[in-house]
Amino acid sequence: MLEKNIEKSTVELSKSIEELRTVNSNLEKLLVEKEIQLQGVYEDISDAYMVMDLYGNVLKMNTAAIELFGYNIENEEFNFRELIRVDDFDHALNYYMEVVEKGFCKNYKTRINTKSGAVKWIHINGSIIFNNKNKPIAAQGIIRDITETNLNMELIEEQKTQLGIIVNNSNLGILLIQSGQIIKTNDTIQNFLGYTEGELNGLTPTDISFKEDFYRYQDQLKEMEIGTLDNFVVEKRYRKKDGSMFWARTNVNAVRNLLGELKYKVILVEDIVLQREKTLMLDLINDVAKSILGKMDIEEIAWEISRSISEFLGADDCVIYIVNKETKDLEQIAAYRNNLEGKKQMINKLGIPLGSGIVGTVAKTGRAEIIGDVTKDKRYIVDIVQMNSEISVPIISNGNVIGVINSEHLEKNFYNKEHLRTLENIARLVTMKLKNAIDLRERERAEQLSKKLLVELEKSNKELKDYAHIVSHDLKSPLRSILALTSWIKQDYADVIDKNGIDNFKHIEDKIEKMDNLIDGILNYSSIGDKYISKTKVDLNVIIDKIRKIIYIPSHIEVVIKKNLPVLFGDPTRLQQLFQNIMTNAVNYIDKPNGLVEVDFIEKENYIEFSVSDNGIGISKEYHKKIFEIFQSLNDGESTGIGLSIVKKIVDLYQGKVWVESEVNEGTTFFFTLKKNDN
Amino acid sequence: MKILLIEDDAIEIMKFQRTISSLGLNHEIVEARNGEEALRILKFKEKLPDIILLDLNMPRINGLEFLKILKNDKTLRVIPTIILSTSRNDTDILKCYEIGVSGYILKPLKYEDYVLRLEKVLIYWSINELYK
Repeated sequence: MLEKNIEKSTVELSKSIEELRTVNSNLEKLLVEKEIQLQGVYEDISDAYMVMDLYGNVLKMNTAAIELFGYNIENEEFNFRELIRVDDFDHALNYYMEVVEKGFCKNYKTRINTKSGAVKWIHINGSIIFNNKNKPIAAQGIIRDITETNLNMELIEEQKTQLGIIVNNSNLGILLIQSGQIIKTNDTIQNFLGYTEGELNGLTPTDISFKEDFYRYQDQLKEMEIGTLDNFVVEKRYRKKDGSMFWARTNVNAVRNLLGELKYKVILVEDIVLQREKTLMLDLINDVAKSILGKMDIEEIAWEISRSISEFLGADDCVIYIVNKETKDLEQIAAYRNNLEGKKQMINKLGIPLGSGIVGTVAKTGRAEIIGDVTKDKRYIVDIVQMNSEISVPIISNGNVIGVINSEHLEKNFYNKEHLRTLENIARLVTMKLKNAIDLRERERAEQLSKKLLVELEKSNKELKDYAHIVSHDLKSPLRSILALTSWIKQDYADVIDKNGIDNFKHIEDKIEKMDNLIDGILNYSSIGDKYISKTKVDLNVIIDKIRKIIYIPSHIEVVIKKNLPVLFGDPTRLQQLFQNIMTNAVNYIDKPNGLVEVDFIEKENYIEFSVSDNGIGISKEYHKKIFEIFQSLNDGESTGIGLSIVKKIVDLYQGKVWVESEVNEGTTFFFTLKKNDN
Repeated sequence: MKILLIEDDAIEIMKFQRTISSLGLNHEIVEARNGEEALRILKFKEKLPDIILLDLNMPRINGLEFLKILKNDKTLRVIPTIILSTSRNDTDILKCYEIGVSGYILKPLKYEDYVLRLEKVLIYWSINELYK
C-alpha cells in the first residue's frame, strides 16, 4: 500500500514537474517572444522602458532606463522598489496593489533615488504581464523623467499662491474686468467699497463710479479699446455700497491676446484719501502757523484760523468762539462761511451759554466731538444755515477751555478722525497766541473801563461839588430875601409894631442866621476835598492868633498855648479850619466860671500829636465816636453839628487820627495827629 | 452914574432900588432879568452903562457865561463889572477875576449889612474916572 502510495505520489510529482516544466518553457517562450516583440518597439524609444518581476526585480531595461536610473542589469541586479523614496513608499504600495488588481496604470507619479543619489520625479504608465493561465507574472512600464516639468509646475503653483497672497494683502484694490463686467476682485477693493466678492462680480465699473468724474478718463478708455493705449492713471472717486465716496488713484491696464484684442482690464485702485488728507492737514497746520505769526489782535488771529480751516477742509463754515469769563457765554469772534455769494465773514453776535448746544457742551466738557448727523443730535443749534455734520474742538489753556473751533458741513459724515486730529493740533498751536490775545483784550477792556470810571468819577465829583454850591446859593438867596423883607417891615411899620412884634422879628432873624451858618458849614465840609491841597509853610502860632481874633472868646475863658507851636507844611485854610473848629468847640462848652483852654503837642517820629483840652461840660463816653459824624450835635444851641465832622475830614486828609478823652463835668481833650512833612 | 443891574430875583432888585433911594443917591438904574436881556440892552442902547452889577446865579445864560461874552466884545469889555454873589466859593472867585471883573461883593445875610456894602461900592465907583 505504502509503495502504491509512493508510486502514485511519484507519478503525480513527475506529472507536476512535467507541468511546471511546460509552464516554464512556455514562459520562456513567451518571454522570448515578447522580448523579440518589445525589442523592436521599445528599444529605440526615448522614454525609459523596464520589465520587472512581481517583486520589483528588474528583468529588462532599455538604454533610456539605464540613463535614468544609473543602473544597468547587465552589470548588476537591482530592485525597483528600493529606488522609491521612503516617504513615497506607502503611496507606491497602494498604487502597486491597484495595478495588480486592474492590470494597468496610468500617470503614476513618484520620486526615486537614482544610483548617483539624485532625486527624480518620474511618471509611469505601466501594465501587468499575465501568463496563459491569466496569472500575473511580471510588470512592465514606460517611465518618463518629469523632474523638470514637475519643478516648473510646483513653481507655478507656488507663484500662484504667492500671487494670491500678494493680491489679497495688497494695499491696492484690484479689479479684473472682462467685457465691461467685474469678474474678479481682491479683499482690498472689497473693503474699500464695502461690497462682498459676490456682490461685486457682475457689477460694472460705472456702478462704483461717479458720472461727474467720467470726463477725466473717457478718452483714455477709448484709446485702450482701439488698442493705442495699454495703461493709464486717473484720480477719481468711487461710490461705496453705503453711498459715500472716496478718492482713489486708479491704474488701468490692458491685457491683450496674441491678436492684440483687449481680453481683460486690470484695474489697480489706490486709496489716496489718507495720503491726500495727511498732506492737506500738514499744509493746513503750516498755513495757520504762518498766518497767525506776529499777530496780536484776537479777531485777526481768529479770522486767520477760521479762514485756513474752512479753505483746507472745504468746510461750509468755520467759527471761532471765545469764552467770555464774565457772562459765561461763548462769543463768536470770527466766522468764515461758504455760501452762495462765496466766502465771507459773518458773525452771529448771539452768545451761546456754556453747556448749551454742541459748541457749548464742548466748551464745558473740554472734549472734542464729531457729529456725523446733527439732525439726530438734540443739542444742535442752527447758527445761520442748517448744516448736517459738525466738528467741535476745544482750545484749552492750563486746563481751562478758552475757546472752541467749530466747523460745519452740509454733507453728513463729512468729518473724520484725521480732521479731528488736525483741529486738535491747531487748537494746541494757537492756544498760547489766543490766550495772550484774550489777556490783552481783557487788559484793554479793563483799562478802558477804569478810564471810563475815572472820568465818570471825576465828573460826578465835580457835579457833586457844583451841586453843593448851587444848592447852597439857592438856599442862601431866599434867606437874604426874607431878612430884607423883615427889615423893611420893621422900618416901614415901626410905628405900629410893638415890643412883642420886634422880639418875634428877632427870633426870625436868629433862626435865619443859624440856617445861613448851617449852609456855610455844609459848603465848607463839602469843599475840604476840593481841588488841590496847597502846600506852603504854615506857622501854627500865626494861625492860632488869627483864630483868637475871629472867634468870640468870653473874658472868663483863658486860652493858653503851652509851648511854641511847630511850623507845618500844608494848606493854611484847612489847618485854620481844623484848629478853629476844635477851639470854638472847646470855648463854647465851658460852663465853669474860670474857663481854661490849653493847646499843646507832642512830637513823635513820623507825626505830631496835638491836644486841645478844656474844663467844660464833658462828653459822655457813648458819644465819643458819634460826635465826628456830620450833623451830630449834642445840644441844639448854636452848634450846627458840622464842626467836628469838618475836623475829622481834614485830619483824614492829612492821614492822621482824631479822638477824644473826656469826663462829664470835668472837661474834654481832643487829640489829633498830623503827619510830619516830607521836607 | 448909569448902572446896569443884572439880577433875576425880584426881591434882590427891590433891595438894590431901596438901597439907592434910602441912601438918597441919584444913579440911573437899568434892570435886566438875565444875561440875554442884558446883552439886548447893551447892543441897542446908544449910551452904555458906566458900571455893571452882575448876579452870578441866573437862569439861561448864567453870570459866568455872560461875563465871557461881555469880555470878548471889544466895545463892552471896558465896562467895569462888579459881581454880586452869595457864593464864597474859591473857584468862582478865581474864574471871575481870570475873565476880568472889577470886584466881587458877597451878598451879606442881613439887609442892613447889604446897604452898608453897596454904599461903599457905589461911592468907590462914583469917584473913579470912567471911560465914556
